[in-house]
Amino acid sequence: MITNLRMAMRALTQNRLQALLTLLGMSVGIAMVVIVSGLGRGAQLKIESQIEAAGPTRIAIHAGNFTPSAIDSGGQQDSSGGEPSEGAYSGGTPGSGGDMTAVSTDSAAMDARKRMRAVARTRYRAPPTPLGAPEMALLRQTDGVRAVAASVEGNVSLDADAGLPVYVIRFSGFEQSWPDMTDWKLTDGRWISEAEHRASGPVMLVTPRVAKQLWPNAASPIGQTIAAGGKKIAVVGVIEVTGQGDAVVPTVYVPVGLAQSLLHRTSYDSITVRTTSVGVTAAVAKDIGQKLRALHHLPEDMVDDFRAETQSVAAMPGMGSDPRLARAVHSNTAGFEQASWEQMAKSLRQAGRTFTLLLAGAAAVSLLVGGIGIMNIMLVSVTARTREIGLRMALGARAGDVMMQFLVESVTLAALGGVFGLALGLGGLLVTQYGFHWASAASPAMLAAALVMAALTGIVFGFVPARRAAFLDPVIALKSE
Amino acid sequence: MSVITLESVKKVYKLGENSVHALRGVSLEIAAGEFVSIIGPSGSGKSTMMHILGCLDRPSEGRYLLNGKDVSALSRDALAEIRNKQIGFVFQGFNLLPRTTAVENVEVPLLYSRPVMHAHERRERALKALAAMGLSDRADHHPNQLSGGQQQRVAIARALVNEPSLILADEPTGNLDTKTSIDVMQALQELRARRGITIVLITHEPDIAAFGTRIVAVRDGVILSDVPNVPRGLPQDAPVALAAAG
Repeated sequence: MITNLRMAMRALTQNRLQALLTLLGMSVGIAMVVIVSGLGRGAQLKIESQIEAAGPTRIAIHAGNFTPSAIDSGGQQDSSGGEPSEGAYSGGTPGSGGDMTAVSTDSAAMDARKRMRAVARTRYRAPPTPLGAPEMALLRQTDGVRAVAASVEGNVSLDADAGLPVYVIRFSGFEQSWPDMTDWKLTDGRWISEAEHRASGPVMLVTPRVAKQLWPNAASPIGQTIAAGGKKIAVVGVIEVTGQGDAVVPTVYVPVGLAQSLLHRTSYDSITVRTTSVGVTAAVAKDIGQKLRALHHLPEDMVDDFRAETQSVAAMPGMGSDPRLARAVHSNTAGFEQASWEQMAKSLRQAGRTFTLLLAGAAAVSLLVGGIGIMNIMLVSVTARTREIGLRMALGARAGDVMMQFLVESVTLAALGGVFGLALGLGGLLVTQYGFHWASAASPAMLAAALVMAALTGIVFGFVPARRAAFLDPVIALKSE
Repeated sequence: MSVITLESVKKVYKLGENSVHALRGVSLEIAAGEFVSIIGPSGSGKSTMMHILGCLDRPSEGRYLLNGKDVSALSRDALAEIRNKQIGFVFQGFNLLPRTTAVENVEVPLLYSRPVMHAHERRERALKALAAMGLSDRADHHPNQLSGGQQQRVAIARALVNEPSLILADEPTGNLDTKTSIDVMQALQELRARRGITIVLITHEPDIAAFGTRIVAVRDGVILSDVPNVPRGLPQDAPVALAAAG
């Protein structure tokens, strides 16, 4: 094998220019493959992450259920059927408690409600079951769940000698898996470590705004402390949190266990689940609903004693807006949004795949051109070395030996072109990434695949010339000049 | 035992409509240790004969027994193996690989030997064969750095490296001057004398044919005459003469 390789190298160096040109052709093909797959993968990842960022992979579970059952996605399907607009404006179904105050005297609405009643089952409410360890354990075991994070939040009066411009601070307890689920960005200091999370350590994260509010004169909030519940809690990091309103009470972020002890609580306010992909979110939400009902021993005629909301449901206007309008929008979109997100994700992925296929087609064509170049130079080489082939045959080379010699030569040529092409392709990816700001991603597996592809091209296009060489008639080959 | 037995061998080439009868029934027996010169003008069929004797081609009719084994109907690869193991070729144009050192040229037949031979064993045997031809100090020279006589002796070393029982020399002196030709022929005679290798020489020059112990004249595809010969120029002190010939 090594001898074959050495022979191949020697043969290639004999007509250097030709080999170099062929190599160049091959490199362009492989570079194309690298660039295309890099861009394709980049686009794919970008689409994924955009869908991920916008789409509902988060399900927030809250204890208690104060929404009318017509609005939660399960109930909505039961009650409104094919005419969502009627259900939407009809307000609550029986048993929806305080919402009954929003009753309209409009006769058309009354009418609609009557029709609703006929369809809906009678359902009763159970008092909310606090969310705690059993729920966490159950959610962790649910299929399609990537991460689970519990949170608890509440105001705590600071100790008398705190020396801060405020007397009450809102402590928001989070778990280590939470920052990944949101767009929290660390701008200074560090995250709360795993050990600190586990031990409910006296550490916290603050936003720049709160830091300014609490310590207006400090250059950096890192290391500043708050005294609450007899503990000194130190700032270890500064985070950017989008969507944090201008709350009157400054909020700080602490390990969930610490928040629980400060608030004297053993349960959680909410548990957030992140699903493995947009596509499974709806199914996972439904599954979670059923499992929690079973865990809480809710009989058929009881409505859920919890809310499991996907992101877009949670984002619906609630407080402050006209509850009827909110409900209308809600019920019109709740079931629809999941389906449409999945659709969108699917079609975007499809588009990404089509794009990749298209580019892959272009890459295949340039590989073909490179391959034809190899075939050409190998055919020339076989013709030019007919006498050598005859001699080798006379000295005992079998057809297989000759074939191997020329295949090794063409594969060497193609692989060299491949290596060169890899470099070229990676360079091209850098240019597209930093020059044109296109998303790209090159994985080692992909690069290896490109090399294998180069070698395969060498074998495929080297086969015909090698075969021709192997089956030359030794007598005729020996006579040739 | 005879090394070569040809039994009314015929070879017909089809060239379109015409067929060319290169050999029209040749029977020949060559015993081990003979130095047979086959002589004839071009077109006499001596090249065809050499191709058949060298297992490069198969007879159209008749049988060819090499070392007692019928090789007239073997497959390509089986013939390749026989060429590799039992026959050493010396060609007119030396046929050394360019840009390849002498020792690497000598190694070529070993590359195709089965079972596969280790690189260092190949090198060792090739160097030994070169030494036998008095070329130890030229092992790393490329063919274009060697004289014609040296090149031909590299070719002989290559023919010998697999220790064949038969050496086929096809116009080995065609490209050499008279003095070098004589040196090369003496080297062949020496091989026969020392190792008992059977040598078949194909030539059209009577004075080269005269180095054989037997001269077979061929014409128009048949054997005209087959006579024993007292070889000319058998050297008394061959090894020394060879080493000096460089």
